[in-house]
Amino acid sequence: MNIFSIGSAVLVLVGFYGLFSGKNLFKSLISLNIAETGVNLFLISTGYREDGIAPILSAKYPFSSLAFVDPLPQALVLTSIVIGLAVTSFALFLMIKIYIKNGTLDFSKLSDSNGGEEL
Amino acid sequence: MNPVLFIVIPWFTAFFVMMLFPYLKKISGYFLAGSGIFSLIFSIFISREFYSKGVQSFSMGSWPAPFGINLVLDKASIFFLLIFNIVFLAVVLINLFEKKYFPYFNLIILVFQGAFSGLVLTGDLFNLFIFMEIASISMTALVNRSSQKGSSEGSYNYLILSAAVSLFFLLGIGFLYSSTGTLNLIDIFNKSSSIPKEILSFLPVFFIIPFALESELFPLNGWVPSFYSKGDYAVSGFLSGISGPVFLFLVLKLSLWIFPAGELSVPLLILGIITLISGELSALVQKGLLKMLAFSSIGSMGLAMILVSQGTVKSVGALIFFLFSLILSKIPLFFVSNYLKGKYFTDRIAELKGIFRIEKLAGIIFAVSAFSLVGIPIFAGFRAKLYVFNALSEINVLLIIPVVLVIAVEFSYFFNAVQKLFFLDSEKTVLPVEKKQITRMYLYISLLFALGLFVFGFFPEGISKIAEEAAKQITNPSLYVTTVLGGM
Repeated sequence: MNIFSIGSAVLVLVGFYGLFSGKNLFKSLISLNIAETGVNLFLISTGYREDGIAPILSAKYPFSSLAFVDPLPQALVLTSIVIGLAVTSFALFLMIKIYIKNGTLDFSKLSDSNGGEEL
Repeated sequence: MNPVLFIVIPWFTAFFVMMLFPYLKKISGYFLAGSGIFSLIFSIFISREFYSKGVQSFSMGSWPAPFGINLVLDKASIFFLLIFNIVFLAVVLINLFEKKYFPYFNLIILVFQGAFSGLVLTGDLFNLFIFMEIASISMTALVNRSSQKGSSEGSYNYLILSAAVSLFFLLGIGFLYSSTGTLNLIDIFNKSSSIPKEILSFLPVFFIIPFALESELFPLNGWVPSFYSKGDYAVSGFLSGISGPVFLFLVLKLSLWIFPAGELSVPLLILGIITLISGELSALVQKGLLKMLAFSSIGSMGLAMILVSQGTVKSVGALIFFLFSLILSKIPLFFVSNYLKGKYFTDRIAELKGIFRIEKLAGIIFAVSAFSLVGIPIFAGFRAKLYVFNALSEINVLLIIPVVLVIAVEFSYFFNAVQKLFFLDSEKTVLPVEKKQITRMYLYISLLFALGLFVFGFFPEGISKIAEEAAKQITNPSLYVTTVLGGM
């Protein structure tokens, strides 16, 4: 257990709490982003090494070394940040559309998720 | 021939459509059709060349697996790709005749095509995550495009939910990577004994939650009804015909390859039974055709999940045949209901009473596919239910009870719908007068699918042989090890 895993667990919990308790669509999106940051921190921490150096072959380290941090989780996090960005921007777009249509972002005031249609 | 073309060609075409569509609005549909036809022909070529050759692995950028990314081609994925592309071409043809969707729709549906081909083919976990995200974004965009009321809310709900549960998936990937040091599915299978017990005790949760959402399992299926009944015309048939079965196939792969000791089987069985019962019972009380079909498709996913959870050769074979007959009957059902809704502005059964007296072709197609879905003899659905019974009764006779109950419920609501749509009340004959011109392509394509139900009902041997061979291959992951990890 290091500071990174504890930090990521806290972020994920805060994010999910916000996601499921909030009534405002915008706040739920922000909570989602917080949870996402927590997950990314966790992924990075799986490749973290105390006093590790960047995984680049140089004059000092001509061959791969145990001092390197694991680059794979970093690549994964880079990708997942990009995906998170895409999801966020698309969700914002939908939110604008919902706001224009209904004049509110309050989840409980929206005409209910079924579009006001019974059965 | 490299199957990466299944992913590259649609996305490349999508890029072209995006660049060109301000200028070439009219022809973007032909780009889509081109991509669809190419993929279908290519999948026929791929199946001719590789079907009998056993497992094939294609590494990208000549980095051998597990260091690089690879695509895995086996009998099951070849079969799924073939069906997927046939369904895709059907939707593309409808789109060509339904002019109003140009060109935004074409762009998204191309992204969707590439993402789902990737989901079927990919051999490593992180790409699975990426393709899942792309698939769910494009599904959201497809439904949001719909002009119907509440479509933005429905799609927003789904987008946020799927983004939230995919975080679970990402966490699961992190735990797996930290304990095995690899992301390749087959390499994980190889090292699955090295996963520590304490991680293995909670790891299944991270994989069950995201896939329960995507493959419509209870209690994460709240998005399904509004999502499917809000999509315009061809979209909902497409979604239910492809996305459910593909995600189910992925759950199968994960449960057999990452958790070979069967950690997933009990939770999946319980979820499957609850989903089956809740979906079918909700379908029973629906008044709109599309919602009824959506709930019924939830029920079918539950039944399929029971088969997945068992993971024996026979149950997986039955699963593949069941999914095949499900796609063949679900697509015409959705297309006909969408056609009626598009033409008469309603899908409520009470308002459409006797409609099949006017729409005779639609009526025949609807009745045939509904009866096949229920499992009436002479149709393909009957054979599927027969295989399901055989497989489940061999494992445990008690497993048959939910299946029998469900067939009874399914029979009652489909029979009720067909009866009401065919026969008028003699006192009040109020058929909708208001109507809109809508392409009859829906019916012609549905007719082909419905004919397939007859053909495979009489001659199921070909498909059942494929299903059995594919099941034998996929349930034995050690067959994959030498091919995929040849670089080790």
